[in-house]
Amino acid sequence: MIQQWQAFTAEILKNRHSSITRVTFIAFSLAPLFGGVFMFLMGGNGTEGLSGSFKAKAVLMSFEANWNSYLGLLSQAVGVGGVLIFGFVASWLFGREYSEGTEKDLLSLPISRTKILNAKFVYYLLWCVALALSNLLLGLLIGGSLRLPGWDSAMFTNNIQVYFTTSMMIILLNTPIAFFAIYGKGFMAPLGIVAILLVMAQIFGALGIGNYFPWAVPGIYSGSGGADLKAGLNGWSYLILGLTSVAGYFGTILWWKYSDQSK
Amino acid sequence: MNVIQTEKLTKKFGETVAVDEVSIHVREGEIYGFLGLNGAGKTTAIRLLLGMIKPDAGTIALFGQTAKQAAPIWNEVGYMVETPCSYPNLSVRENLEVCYRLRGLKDKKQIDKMIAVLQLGQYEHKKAKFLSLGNNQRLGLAKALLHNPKLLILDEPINGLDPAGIVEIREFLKDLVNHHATTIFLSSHILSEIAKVATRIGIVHQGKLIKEINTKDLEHQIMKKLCVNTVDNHKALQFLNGKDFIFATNDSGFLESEEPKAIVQPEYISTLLVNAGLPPKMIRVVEEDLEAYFLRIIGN
Repeated sequence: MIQQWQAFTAEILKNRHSSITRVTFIAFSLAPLFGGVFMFLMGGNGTEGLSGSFKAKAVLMSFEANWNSYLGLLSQAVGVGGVLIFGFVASWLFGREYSEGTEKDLLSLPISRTKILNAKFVYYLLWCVALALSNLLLGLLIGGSLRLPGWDSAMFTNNIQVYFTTSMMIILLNTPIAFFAIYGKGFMAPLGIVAILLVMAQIFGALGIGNYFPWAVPGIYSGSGGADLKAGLNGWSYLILGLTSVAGYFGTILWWKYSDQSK
Repeated sequence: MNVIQTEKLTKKFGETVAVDEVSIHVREGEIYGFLGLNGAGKTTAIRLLLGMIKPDAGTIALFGQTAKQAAPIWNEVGYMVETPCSYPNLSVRENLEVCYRLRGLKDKKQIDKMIAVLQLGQYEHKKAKFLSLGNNQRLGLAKALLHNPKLLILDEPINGLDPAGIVEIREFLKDLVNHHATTIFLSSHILSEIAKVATRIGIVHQGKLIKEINTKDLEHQIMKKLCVNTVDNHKALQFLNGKDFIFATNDSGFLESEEPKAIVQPEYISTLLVNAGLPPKMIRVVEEDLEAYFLRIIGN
């Protein structure tokens, strides 16, 4: 346990001056900001303040300028944008050692390689949770300053549950991204995989089988595909997602422990 | 006791045999120089020693035991593989602190000591990405030495250092062996440099260990020749060979002999030539340089 703590504090230190941290928080905050602009334009006039595709989308999703729509929008933004941003975080944390050439300093130590990776997984989890929380707080601030109507605790609890469940599903789904970072020896390969997975999630969603494609499930759960698609999620959807995450975790650990590190 | 012992260590990458049945025995307190051209298999051998890659055949023992992952023995080993890399956004001190934490060290004064020893004081708060190649090399050495290892494995440690830095690191490594009972295994592709620090040298070529030699015996391995140029080399050749010497004409048209009896008495050869009316314009003992010796050994 002491060694695990040492590895974790080393991981904190490694990221102390990382500009990537700031970049992810700024990028992720775009969702509540643009959501706020969306709400502001709709402000009290139904969809009259909107035009073009924005209006079409708002009508289609039954958006209104209220708390329920705004918090729902945040969940949907996490469901899709989170795949990208959380995937970026995982790619960076696990791929940076190879990109910066420091991986060899981690291999012949009196501390196990598993503990070093576990420290990274914990740091990744905390980073993503912090992103989700900061986004929510920013959303609440923006919603409050816009004086959105329709606040009640039942609505808030329901939206928060969807928001955090969506976030947690995406967090779990990035263990395979960690694997690709280790396997690809850098952060470029996993970033490419994230982009491919995002496209595939859209394709599988459009084909109506997104409920069995793990990277489409969070988006569908968040409601971005509509209520009908969300109703199609079942136990298998969550089981496949969970198994993907477990496979990603153990694949990362086993590859890091047993493959030749000859870069 | 052998600090490093490999027996028929072999590693293949596809069809390429990077390390081919290499058996090395490095004794306590030695500086073992591992010499070879680029691509000879030095770094692969070092990665094998450090458990970064698995051998296809053969065995490795450090301090008499097989070093498994995460074994406490790794705190007796300091290493630097290829170009040393550090976290670019962390300062010199912070980079050392990462190592300090990962190795579970207890005395933070060790960081101060390494900064002082490697003369990194003026850069300790500078981010690693702004360090010169030489100072980056110093930081790599500081990380390797932070835990006072009994065995130091260094891959091309003087790469990127200026001449003053090379001398300084050379003296520092000698001091480690002489006063701190450290054993050092270091690789290089420069024989003249490795000969100045190593007590024993192993020459690796195309994955094979082709020769091991004590540095003090190197002198006797260096080829020497007596080279003579006279007013008439054609006549001088016939004359000297008629006097029971074996001379030949080299590519420059000078006379050359590798015979020890000729090499040890150039003044006698000179007297003979003068008395025969063939006074030498030049006579000197030519020593093969270390690079030529190295190339001769590997068959180039």
